[in-house]
Amino acid sequence: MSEIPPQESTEAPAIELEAVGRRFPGGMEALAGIDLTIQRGDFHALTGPSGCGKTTILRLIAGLDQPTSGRVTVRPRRLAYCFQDHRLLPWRTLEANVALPLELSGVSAAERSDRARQALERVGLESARDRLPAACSGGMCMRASVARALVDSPDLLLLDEPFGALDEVTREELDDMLLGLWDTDGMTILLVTHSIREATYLARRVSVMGGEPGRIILDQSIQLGTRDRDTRTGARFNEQVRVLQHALEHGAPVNGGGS
Amino acid sequence: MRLLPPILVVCLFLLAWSAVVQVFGIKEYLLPSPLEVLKALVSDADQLASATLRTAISTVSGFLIAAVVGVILGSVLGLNRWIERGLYPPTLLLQMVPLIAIAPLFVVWFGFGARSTIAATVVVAIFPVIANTLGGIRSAAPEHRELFRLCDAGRWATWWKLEMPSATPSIITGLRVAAGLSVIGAITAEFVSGYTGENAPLGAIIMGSVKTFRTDLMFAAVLIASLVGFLLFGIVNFIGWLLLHRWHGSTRD
Repeated sequence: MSEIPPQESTEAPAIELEAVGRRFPGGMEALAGIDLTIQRGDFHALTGPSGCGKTTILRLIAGLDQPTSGRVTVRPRRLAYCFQDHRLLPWRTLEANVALPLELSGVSAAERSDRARQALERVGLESARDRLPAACSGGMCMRASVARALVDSPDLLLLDEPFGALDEVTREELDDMLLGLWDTDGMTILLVTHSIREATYLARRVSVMGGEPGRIILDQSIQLGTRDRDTRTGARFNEQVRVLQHALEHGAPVNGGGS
Repeated sequence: MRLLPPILVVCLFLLAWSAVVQVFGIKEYLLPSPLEVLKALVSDADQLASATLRTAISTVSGFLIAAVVGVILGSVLGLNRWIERGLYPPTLLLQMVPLIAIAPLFVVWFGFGARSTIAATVVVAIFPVIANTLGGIRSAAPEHRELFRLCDAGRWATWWKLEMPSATPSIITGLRVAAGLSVIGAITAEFVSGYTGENAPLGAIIMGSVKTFRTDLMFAAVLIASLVGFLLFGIVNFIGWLLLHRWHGSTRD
């Protein structure tokens, strides 16, 4: 996996949130004054304690929810959303599940079967395509749900703690798979995770959020070079994690500085 | 081996029945012994066979109409909350009307014979299908609905690819209930439109044989009617198994 240096692009950013607030009926203020810019082709992670509004931001970007104040601009046309749970339809085989988005947008049966198989191959599930979700492990189901998100070649991939429920080994394996996919496709990725270590390992930029109401405490770029097996034990990795951890625990960045 | 317990229970029941008739010397027109019922089955085989065919055709036709129309109506009710609120209470009310009270009306509307029987069967059997279709559609996971929304799925695609599969276990349950009710509906209607003679269906034979103290024949006809319902139930169960056993827990053995 090669490191793509963060480039100063003249293109408009993929996602812009300007002073975004979301107040739920009943008065609970989930988000307040969120400013967030994500460049095209960037791998951006949102992290923070549970209930701080990470998922709400993702839902606003996906159009599943509307802000009560501020503005959300999403420029990529094709966006895919990977949920916390795999959300596979239990009556469909993995292949039919992966093909669902194509089926719903009217792609021909032959083409969608082709593309579903390719997507399954990319997540390492080509041999399990005829299996039903009930006959698959949690990790396989999550892989399939990533394949479903990839099947229509999205420009923007929104991931909501996709591997949160998996064991650590599987999780790190899928993290590397995700990095590989980003490397070859170059789509914009926004990942929500409560794990600072996962965010640091995967993303090129991490936003740390605080709760009540949800706001962004720190927006930090991560400079780690190429990720490999030793990345997670390196001193620089741990330094980056510490900076983010500090922001998360104190609700404010070290010396008030980001980068 | 799974068949052994029910067979054993039925045999014990028949033995007890014979014993009671013997020991207490019960007159045949009050309670015939199982053996006499069997004799009636043989001696009146021709009449019973043609009656069974008639009743079975009415029952199955009524059941199929109730199944198809019930799933459609349940789906229409499932379209949105407003339609449900408007139409569900009247449907429920309709269900409360006792069939036996309105069966004569069907004879007036559709005449004697199969058509009024089928109409009555549909009326009794349709409600569980409607209710279970609606309940099944409502049970489609909100998470899956969100997935379909993200994919810009249309109303029709959401119905066919999400709501119908989600509702299938529940619809099968409704159809099982409807299978039993279909026989009740058909027999009740045949009581009312009852005519004896060559074209008599099972319901008419039951009514007629009571009047002529042929209790053995009545029991034979009741037995056959039950078997028709049982068979229909079995077919529904089998179809449910075919559709569901691969992915749904309710039918896994």
